[in-house]
Amino acid sequence: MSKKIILISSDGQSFEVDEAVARECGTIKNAIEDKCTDNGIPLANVTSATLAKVIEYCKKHVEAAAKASAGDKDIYGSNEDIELKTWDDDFVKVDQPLLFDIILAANYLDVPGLLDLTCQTVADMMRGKTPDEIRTIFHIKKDYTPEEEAAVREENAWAFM
Amino acid sequence: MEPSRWSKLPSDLMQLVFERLGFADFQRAKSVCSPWRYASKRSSPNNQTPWLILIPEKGKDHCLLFDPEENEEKLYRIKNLGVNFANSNCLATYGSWLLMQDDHQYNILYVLNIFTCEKIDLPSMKSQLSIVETEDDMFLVKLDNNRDVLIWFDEKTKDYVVIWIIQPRFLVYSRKGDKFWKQIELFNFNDDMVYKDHNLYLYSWSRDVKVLDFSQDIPRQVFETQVKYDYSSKPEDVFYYDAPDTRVWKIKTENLVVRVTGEVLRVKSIVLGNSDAWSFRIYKMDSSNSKWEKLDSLGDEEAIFLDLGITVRLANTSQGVNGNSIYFSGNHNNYCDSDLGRFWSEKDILIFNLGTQEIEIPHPSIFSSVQLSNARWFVPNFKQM
Repeated sequence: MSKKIILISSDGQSFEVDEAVARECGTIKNAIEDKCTDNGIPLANVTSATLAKVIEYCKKHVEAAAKASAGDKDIYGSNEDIELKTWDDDFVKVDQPLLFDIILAANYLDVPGLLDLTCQTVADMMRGKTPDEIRTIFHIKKDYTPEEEAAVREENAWAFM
Repeated sequence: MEPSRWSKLPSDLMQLVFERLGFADFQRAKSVCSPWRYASKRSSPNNQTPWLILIPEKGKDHCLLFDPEENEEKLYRIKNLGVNFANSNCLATYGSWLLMQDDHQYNILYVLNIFTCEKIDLPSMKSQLSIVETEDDMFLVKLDNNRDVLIWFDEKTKDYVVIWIIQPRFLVYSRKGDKFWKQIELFNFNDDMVYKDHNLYLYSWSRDVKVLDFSQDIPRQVFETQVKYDYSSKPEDVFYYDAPDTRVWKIKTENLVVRVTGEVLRVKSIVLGNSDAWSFRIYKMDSSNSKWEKLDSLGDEEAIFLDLGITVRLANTSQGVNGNSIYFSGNHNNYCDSDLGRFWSEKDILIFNLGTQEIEIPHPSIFSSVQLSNARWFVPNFKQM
């Protein structure tokens, strides 16, 4: 039976996961190899809600990788890729605060695929939008003085049409 | 959610987002707030997709840009390019830089960044070495927007090379810091050339490819194809340049393309005399490096941009550019053959689909809405992979 690793979120909740899943996180992989996992690994920067999502991602991707190497990739290969991509697309349909937290967690825990996916999602949200629209979507306050703003628009006036 | 939390996303993570934005989206996103602006200075957008630059009829100081990946057919307008621009012709592009030649004083050449309007003057052609004296201002000619001239530009170091072939004897070039043009002697007519990774690929009339290394002070030849052409090959493989029989395929242009991988392709465009049928043939070097073999498909994830001499790899997310296609314009008429001139002009932009073997006109509504003197593909922010 595969070894279990315990991960402890910043708000004290414990998550028991298979070692293979935990190893999807670079920082945890290092902790495992340095043998400091006996009493669970505390993750001070990750809340339970966020950690749950990260674990969900890692679990799914470990399963997908196992299926790919076990099964006949020629017949099932591309369907599986599409299925995984669809799963990924649904996975990131979360509210913004959670998306923000997942980005930070993916970076802190070193999960490259998840970091890539979430950053791409944010980029996609900005596609074709004006700066005002982007501020609305992301609840960002404009912090330029009128002079600064004029200078910025001047730089690339053509893009603001 | 506390307001403006997103503006506090760590700068290095914000850069990861910015790198996934297209060129125009990047310009807009960086002006959202100060922290994002700061992050944008340390990153650059992801753009390997060619845009169109549409140059209006003579005497205008603006131009229009088209991003094929945007959902609507929006044209960006770049204004106030100055009187110089209005009176110049664009000969070549590299990244966001255009090589311009004055319309009347042909010896005035300069490089212009279409977005920042930064202008770099090139040495006057009149300062050319001894050739000028003996050849009667032979060099003060208006370049015909064809593949006899090219520019390469490094956005970071502002290093550049401008290369110009004066058929058939000389190649002249000027690099950053040069006060005059230097020359290299050639011994053959050259149909086309491409510059990539400090190498100049020259495609000669005899269907040989030479590679010159421009990374050192003096350019030197480092490679030449050694193909033995079998002139007794079957009739369908042989194209006649000037056959009297109008039922035969005639060659319109021969171009060189260097793929993302560095592999060299020859692209031949051919027309059936006296009809409207035209097509393309692509050849690549076989593994023994001594024979050209026909390439029937680029695969769905690659497209050729003939004017730029490059191929682009299409990411999963890019819309607007079709794979397995050749994008070309009328800017490379090597043959002043009036018989073939009806097929396209400098304002035409066309796509040849290798799969269906058909020619399409992309975005016809854009072209019908503006009066143009020239249309070209260019890749804003182009960074060689």
